[in-house]
Amino acid sequence: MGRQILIDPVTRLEGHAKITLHLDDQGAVEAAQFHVTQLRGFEKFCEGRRFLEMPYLMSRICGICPVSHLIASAKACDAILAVSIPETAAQLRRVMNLAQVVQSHALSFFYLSSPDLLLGMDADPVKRHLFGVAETHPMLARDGVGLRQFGQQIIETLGGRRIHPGWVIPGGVAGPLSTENRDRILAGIPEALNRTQRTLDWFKRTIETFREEIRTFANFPSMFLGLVGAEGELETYDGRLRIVDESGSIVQDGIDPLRYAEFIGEAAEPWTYMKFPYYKPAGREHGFYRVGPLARLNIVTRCGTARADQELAEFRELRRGAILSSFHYHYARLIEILHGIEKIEELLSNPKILSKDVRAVAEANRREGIGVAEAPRGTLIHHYEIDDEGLITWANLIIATGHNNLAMNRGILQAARHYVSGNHVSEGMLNRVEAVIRTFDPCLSCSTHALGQMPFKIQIIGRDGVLVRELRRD
Amino acid sequence: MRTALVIGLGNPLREDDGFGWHVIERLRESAVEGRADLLACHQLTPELAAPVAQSARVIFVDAAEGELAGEVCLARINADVGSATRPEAFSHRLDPAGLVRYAKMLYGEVPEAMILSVKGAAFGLSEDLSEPVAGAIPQVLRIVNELLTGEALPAGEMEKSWLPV
Repeated sequence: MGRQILIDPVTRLEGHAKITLHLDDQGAVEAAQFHVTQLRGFEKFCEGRRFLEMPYLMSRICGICPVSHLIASAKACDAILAVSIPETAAQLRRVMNLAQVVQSHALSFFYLSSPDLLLGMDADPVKRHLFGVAETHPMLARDGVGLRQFGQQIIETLGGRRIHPGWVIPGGVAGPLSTENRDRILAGIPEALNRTQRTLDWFKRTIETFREEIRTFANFPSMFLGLVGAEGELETYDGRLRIVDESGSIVQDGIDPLRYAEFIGEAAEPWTYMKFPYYKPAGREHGFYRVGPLARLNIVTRCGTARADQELAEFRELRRGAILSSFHYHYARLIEILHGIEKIEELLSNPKILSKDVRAVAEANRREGIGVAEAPRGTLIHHYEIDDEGLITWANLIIATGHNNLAMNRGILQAARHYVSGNHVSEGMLNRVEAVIRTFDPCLSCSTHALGQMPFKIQIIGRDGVLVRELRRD
Repeated sequence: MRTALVIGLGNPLREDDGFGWHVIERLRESAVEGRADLLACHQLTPELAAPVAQSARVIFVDAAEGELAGEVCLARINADVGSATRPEAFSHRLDPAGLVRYAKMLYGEVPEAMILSVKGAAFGLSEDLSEPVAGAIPQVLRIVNELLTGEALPAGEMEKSWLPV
């Protein structure tokens, strides 16, 4: 008779969820499900609000990546205003978004995943956490704290506060950047670059020890999606959508983000609140793709900054074609931190960044607007419709984490089949199943619009529906 | 230069849980502004370890659950005792003791740290404080002032409380 293992909650994620592993009569894993156990409902409760309130309202979706929601939402509102915002405003938004990529990736790598990478997947969970890393690798822990501070301070300098800043508004930004603040940010660049390079060098030296995890952590062919710039370079604010396949060949390029609905469908399942976006032309069965740092490095022609391009070249030596193992999300995250810091320096070094012309003013000129940007975890889409009074009548959000839902489910199945046997279940085995999810750095609060708390658990369930084992952390 | 840091902690949208934010707002309007760095936040994140380690004295101001609404308590934090929360579950959120301990582990520096809390009466959806908790603000401001001059909790004393006004 088949059985079931439950892991609840899955730890060191942004939010709460659980995993169920279904076993066959011999105790082998035959199915796996990643359940997101909360519903937030931002799409619904913003109906009836004035569209100009949307950026600030939407930034409340998440405490980790509020800037991305702020920016995608403001871009959707720019489209409703039918304005072309001043170039300096676009560049300042770009700086803020890059700062968020830096701080969010630093949180994911140093706070959430480094305990697994530094202390080992089988280490005692009582010690496998932030404090364990601080005790054994204080320099790396300090680098993590420093990089997160660097990104947070830029957001605070521009937006007035680190979390839920309201400075990005429809039509541009609320105020210009002062010379003093620009210089303060630039002064932090050398140390931030050193911290990132030191971590990258360590990671590259260590990566060989994770050969098994690289082979089994959501390592399969898929498509990859994200924005690229005019010359195919890494782009987080604007650009066009590109999709590549597992060989690295372009499936579709130059997609105007405003046409996203022609290419992206959304399916739902009764056992989770997170939707399953897929590439429409390939159908739901075969249309799954990944987004986020690994996808971005797989789709771009180049990063567009010197040091990141050098690292990208080395990264691509891992495999001919697209890099398929989701374990390499960690590696890609570090390269993107490097790119973010370099790009911020480049943008702030242009004297035009101090221009006072940072806002276009208009009233609603269209009834519909779409805003697309790259959040730390991948492509983020906000789409609104308004009535004659400028009140929201309909909103659709496709969140970065949601794009990866199909891949995350396949990923935990792959890892569970490799590591978990129903006859003998160790904490280290189940931690690897959780660690697969951590490579994607899902932000579940973002992707479900839920109210309240998300616990995480893993369940092993037998074929008769009997719960064999349950691991949960409240 | 090592200085003092006052951190108001909580959710300002949940009535008395926002007590720390109200105190920081009042301190910003007072003479304390020049004698201490002031910070209001929802959660204590690991990167606060750096400013904590750079401070000679850190005072956390928070709301607490308890029967006697408006009661004010002051307690020293021992960095060696550690955290009441479980860092393995949510490693980007710490409690005051955990943050001080983390600062010590990373930077080897540990400030004199204290938590000044007020027992809350209501934690619903509002930006206003309940009457007994709002009434405790003048007392808490006085205690913070005394702490910054080293008078409120003499050396060796671990804990002290004040009944509601």
